[in-house]
Amino acid sequence: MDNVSRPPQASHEVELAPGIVRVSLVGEIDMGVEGAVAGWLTEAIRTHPDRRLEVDVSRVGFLDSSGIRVLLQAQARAVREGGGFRLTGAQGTVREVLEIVDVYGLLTGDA
Amino acid sequence: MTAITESTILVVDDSAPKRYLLSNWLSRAGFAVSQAETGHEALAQIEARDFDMVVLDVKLPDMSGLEVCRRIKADERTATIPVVHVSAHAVDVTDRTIGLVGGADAYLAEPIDPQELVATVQAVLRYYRALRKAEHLAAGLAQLARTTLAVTTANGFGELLTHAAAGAARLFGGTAVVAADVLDGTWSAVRVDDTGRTDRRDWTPPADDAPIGFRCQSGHADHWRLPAGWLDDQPLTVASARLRDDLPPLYLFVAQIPDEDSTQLLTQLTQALGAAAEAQRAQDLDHRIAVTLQRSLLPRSLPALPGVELAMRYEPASTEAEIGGDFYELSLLDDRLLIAIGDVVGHSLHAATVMAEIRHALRAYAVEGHPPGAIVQLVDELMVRLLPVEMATLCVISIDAATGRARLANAGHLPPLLITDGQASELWQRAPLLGIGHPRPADLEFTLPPGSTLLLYTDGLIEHRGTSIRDGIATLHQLARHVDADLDAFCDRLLDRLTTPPNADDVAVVAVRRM
Repeated sequence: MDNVSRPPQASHEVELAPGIVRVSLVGEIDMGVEGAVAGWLTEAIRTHPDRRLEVDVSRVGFLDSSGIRVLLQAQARAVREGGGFRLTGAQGTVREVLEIVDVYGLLTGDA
Repeated sequence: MTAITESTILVVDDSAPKRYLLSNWLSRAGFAVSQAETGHEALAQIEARDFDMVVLDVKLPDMSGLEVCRRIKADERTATIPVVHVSAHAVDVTDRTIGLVGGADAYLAEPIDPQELVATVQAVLRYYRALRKAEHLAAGLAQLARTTLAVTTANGFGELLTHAAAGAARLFGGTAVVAADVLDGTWSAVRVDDTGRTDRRDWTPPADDAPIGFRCQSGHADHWRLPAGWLDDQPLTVASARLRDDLPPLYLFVAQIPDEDSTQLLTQLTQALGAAAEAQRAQDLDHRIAVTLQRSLLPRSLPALPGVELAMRYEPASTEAEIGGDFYELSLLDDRLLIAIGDVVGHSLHAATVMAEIRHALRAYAVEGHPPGAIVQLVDELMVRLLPVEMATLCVISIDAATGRARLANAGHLPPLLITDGQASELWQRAPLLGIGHPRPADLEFTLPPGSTLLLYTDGLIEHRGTSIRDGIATLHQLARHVDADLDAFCDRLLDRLTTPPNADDVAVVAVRRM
């Protein structure tokens, strides 16, 4: 009954720094958790519209196209309704996939 | 469970005449009786065989009857054997209390009336019988609940049948077989034995007009065409559950079930399995409809163009996975070949419809005569305006069949490979995926020399969790360096080597060779 007791694929932590609301994502970000991750990021923007949203993915081991969509949509919303956006900590396969679809610079502001 | 009067009772008393009297009364009431003279002898007998009750003298030569009772109740293997104390002496209330507190179920003092003894023994046995039945039923219901949850959350028919047979094997304590129609008249049967060993086979049911609802009957392995060694040589209980006339039944086979409580559990289990199988069948059907629809949205034939050979493959994700959003396009516009490949974000029928919209849009822009970069730019604008939450990767290439000169525009898609003389090179053009309205670089121009092959693919071919995309592309390089004489065989070989069914993701591959 593995499919009953499977642990959640992704989790998140929120912390505040001067001018910044930082959401650290942990685990595997794919279609199965797309909705949940979108909710976490939207919530951070809504509660702290005056702070820049920083999404840390240093503890994310896998990111698929659904995950990329979530990040891009959060960026659009943070720019529109909040205090800006920045992605940090992308490495390994996560960074690779962001580079292939050519949004790494866009999301990190290093373009 | 044996009838009360067939119960076996151990009578323990050091006085031979009293032992004879007690045994005689109980035998005449229909009980099987065994005798022991001392506490140690009694414990040895209880260790050696099953008793339904112990009638125990309080005063024994080697140890107190109270101690014998305490030991019986302290050992979990014997704790459920009822004990009735008999005492030769007039006892006061305190002695009785000590006996009962020590775990005895009744306490009789001399003078003992034969009828009172038999009535007490029967009352205690009745109580234990009811208790065991309740415990057995509770354990059965808990197992039933676990099995129902497991089959309801099973991922595909294989898992469903395995959980079902394993649950039935535990519930009825032996080998169990569960069989169902898993796909359009293809039946599968799974057998699980009492050690948990699992075996799955194709199965052909005999002609059977299973009724709507539940049926339970006796049967034999031969009649039901069960594979050799599966529940042979014994009478079987065969249960079936069927939801509707136009739906096939589900079958459950176990060794013959002895009592009514087990039949109740069998009924509930079989009905739960029947419902879970139906849900699984409906889900599989949805998936097949979606895959059929998705395929119908992709090109059905390849354009014929002198001097150019084409091959393409599309493999949907397995029935356990969701529908994918991969797509490709191959069309001939005057003397130019338009090739496109892409992947819509998301795995659903909705992603497939978005894929169709993108594909038709790019064909329309191509017909208008736009070069690849402009086509990609226009599709991007269309998505930003009309499909604002969608995203997709797309690579468009236009080739002049006569000269081999080509233009490429990529939007976040994996790099196509150009294979010339046993060397593969990646055609990288970095530009963001579609749907975010980002500025684009100029088209990448290159030439397809005679004999060279262009290979386009989606991430299902090279991406696997836990390995890097770079490594995936490198592996593809090695396999694609030498292109087979037959381009179809080339595509088959790549799919064969790089994907392992059941595929978690769908895969599209397009190969173009200039003669």
